[in-house]
Amino acid sequence: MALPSVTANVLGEAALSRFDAIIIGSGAGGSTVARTLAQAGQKVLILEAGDNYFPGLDDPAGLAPPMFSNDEIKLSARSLIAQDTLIEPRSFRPTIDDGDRTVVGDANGLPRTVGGAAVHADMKYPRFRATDFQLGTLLGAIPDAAFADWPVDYATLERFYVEIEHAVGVQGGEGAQADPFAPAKSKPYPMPPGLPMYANTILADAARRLGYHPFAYPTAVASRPYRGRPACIDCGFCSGYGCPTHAKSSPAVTLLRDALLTGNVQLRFNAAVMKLVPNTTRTQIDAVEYLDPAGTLQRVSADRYVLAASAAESARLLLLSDPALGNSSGLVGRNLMFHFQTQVIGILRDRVHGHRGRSVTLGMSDFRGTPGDPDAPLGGIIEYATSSDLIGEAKNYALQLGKTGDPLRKLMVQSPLRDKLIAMIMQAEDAPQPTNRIDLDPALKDVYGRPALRVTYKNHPWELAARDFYVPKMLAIQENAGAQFGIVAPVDTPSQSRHVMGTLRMGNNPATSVCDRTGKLHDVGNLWCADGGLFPTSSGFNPTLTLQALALWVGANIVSPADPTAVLVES
Amino acid sequence: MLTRRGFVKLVGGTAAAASIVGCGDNLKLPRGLFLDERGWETIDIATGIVFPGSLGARDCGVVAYIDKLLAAFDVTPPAIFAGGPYSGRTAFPDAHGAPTKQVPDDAFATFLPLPRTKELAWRMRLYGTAQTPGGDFNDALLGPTVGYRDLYADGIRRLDEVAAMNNPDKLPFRWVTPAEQGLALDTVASELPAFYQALVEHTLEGMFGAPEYGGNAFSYGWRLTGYDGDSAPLGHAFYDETQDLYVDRPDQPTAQPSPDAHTEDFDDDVLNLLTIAAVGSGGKRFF
Repeated sequence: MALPSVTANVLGEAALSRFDAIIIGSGAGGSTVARTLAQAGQKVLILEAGDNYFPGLDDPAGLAPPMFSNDEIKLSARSLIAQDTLIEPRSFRPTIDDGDRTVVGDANGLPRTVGGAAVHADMKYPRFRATDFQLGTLLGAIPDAAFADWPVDYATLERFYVEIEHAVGVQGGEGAQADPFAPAKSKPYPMPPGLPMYANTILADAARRLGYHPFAYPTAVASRPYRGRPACIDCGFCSGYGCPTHAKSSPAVTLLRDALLTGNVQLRFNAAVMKLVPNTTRTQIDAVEYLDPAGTLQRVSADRYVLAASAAESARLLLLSDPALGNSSGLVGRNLMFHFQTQVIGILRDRVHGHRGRSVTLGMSDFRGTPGDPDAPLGGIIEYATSSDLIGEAKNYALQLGKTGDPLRKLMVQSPLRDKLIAMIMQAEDAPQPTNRIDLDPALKDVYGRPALRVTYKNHPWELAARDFYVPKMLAIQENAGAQFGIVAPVDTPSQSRHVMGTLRMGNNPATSVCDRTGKLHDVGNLWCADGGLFPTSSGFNPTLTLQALALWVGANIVSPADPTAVLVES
Repeated sequence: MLTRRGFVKLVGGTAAAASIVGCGDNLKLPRGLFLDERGWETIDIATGIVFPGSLGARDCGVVAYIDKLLAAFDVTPPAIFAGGPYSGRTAFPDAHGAPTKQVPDDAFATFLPLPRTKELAWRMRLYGTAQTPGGDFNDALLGPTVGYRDLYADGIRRLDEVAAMNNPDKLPFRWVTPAEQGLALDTVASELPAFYQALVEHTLEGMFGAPEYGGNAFSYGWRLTGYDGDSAPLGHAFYDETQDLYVDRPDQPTAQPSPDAHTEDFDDDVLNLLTIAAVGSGGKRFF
């Protein structure tokens, strides 16, 4: 079988050689900005460190089959698209008092591939609430935390949310199927929800009996044929897997493809950016240097540059300049946030086949809380979750519980931790702390000889208290659902969350933020950020929709600063 | 070349029947690309200790999975990542979601080429960081990472040494009793933990992963666990445009209990394990 895109390493308009903008990263943020700029006529170069598994993504005749598949070895055991921990190891330590590092390997790594981390996501797409943009004001001062208001509010972003929901294709409930606490939408979701997973309905029924408000989880997966892509078949390989049918509305097959089809975009993949090259006063970027697929260093220039490599890697690129770029505030890499995930597992006596469906189909936001209300601390949205991976289940028993031989066989046949498991995962707000940060490891290196990315992170008592408040309520739902057992997953260190935010926070004051309200770095005239690095706070909802709405806002301010809404066509 | 699984198909038996071949040296079949006769039998037996029984690791031919991984770079493209999107184990659906007679080709059977850095990473993993040109960049800080090929070679050698020490005839691992094999593997597991961890992980991958990687013969691992395996392009639900309705697959639904579903009690030792896990975590046993 011919694999043209893998060897050619270019998608889009190969003839372009002069660019208005260079975007680093082809994921959720980079795709969104590329599409916005390209539709306004700008010539755009996207540099993507990872490989491409969407051959023919730029084919105007239609989408060709991807190389993704229902294959646990490929995507999970052998990590096809993950950042490889041997090639690009990261390090971790809880605090600066814990030495140079306590862990080497993976620390919140995100996939490196055309389409970015969202390729592997199950694409849960709730909006943030209006109050989530004002937590600096609403929470007041909290010791050692740095809650801040966003410099854009929900009312400003609302139409940008609509634009993304329709441009990518989000399914979601209206009326009785909707989250009653969700903020007002000016336009309904473009598609209704698909079928709920049986495992999820068991928890939703229990939650409803206890007075909570379950809803069809807004999800960027097609439930109807949508803009050239098919409706989802619920194959079951969703979270952690690339979609084999293109039903998943991931950035590659939606906004990135839109961008490539304009004829104004060239995407070079297997092209890892090594560094940004500033001018002598460090107020402008003159070029970026990247390694081409053969490993040769290349230099390329444009009028403007956009960091969209993820909150962690975008911050690292700034820190790799010596001294760090854009860092007059001293905040580059700081206020790193994840969603603080609390997981409460129920074990039933019945099989619930969590390996069929879209990983999460229902949820509730009753535990998101209300700012300032001591009886409703700020937690986060609850995903009704399942366990689907068979090899993963077996490794849990063998490596975590130490069971091999006949006991392992019995566990696999009776399957308490997969086929009889119903879980709740709370994606809770993680307090921003300047001491939680990305920086450069002093000795560990990546394959390119650069200092490895180091994560320094410890939970704040603020979010630990919210966890303690909600865990008994989550256990009560499990009991009502008929679970025989309720198991509380421990606080994970290092965090296993793949929701990575902060590090380049946006704000109006250059002394307390890295980027301005349009995403441009305060200190650098032609450099923007368009990824989760911008988030001043993490909210308690899955981040990718808001990340894309914000990236659209960034792009709109580049091409239409007088009226950013001029780029919007869906509302 | 006649592979082990090829042999199984030729004789028309099951993988379990084929394990008879492992009992003697009368059949001089080429065993693997990496494992020789002795290594193949030794690892085959060891995987059966990790996951014993009918439809277990030996019936699944897990040793073939391990050999294919260890020799991944003996073939082009390297046998690391299977292709996609479909294996052909399910058919395309018709307009109402029922399976048609149209079955996709097995794209899993064609492996994907690796870009430069992925190839380097997998060479480091298989051959070791110190043995891979350009792979030793963190060895001064972390010490070298031993490759899987050396881990298995050391493990096989040590299993034979430990087994021979414990019987008067100095028999190797593959020829001693199952009880002695179990004891020898326990000893080697504590002496060579990196080998043992690789053995366990690869045994489970080879039992429960897609058969194109060399294991899970006849999808026995999926049959044992009642697992559907890869389901696309048929999937578990279907949007029927003619009715504007999502329909659940009758035999393997997503939104409903499976047709054969029934409540199953856990065995006492599983209940004990779950009780410890629940109570120890701050959770509860609800009955």
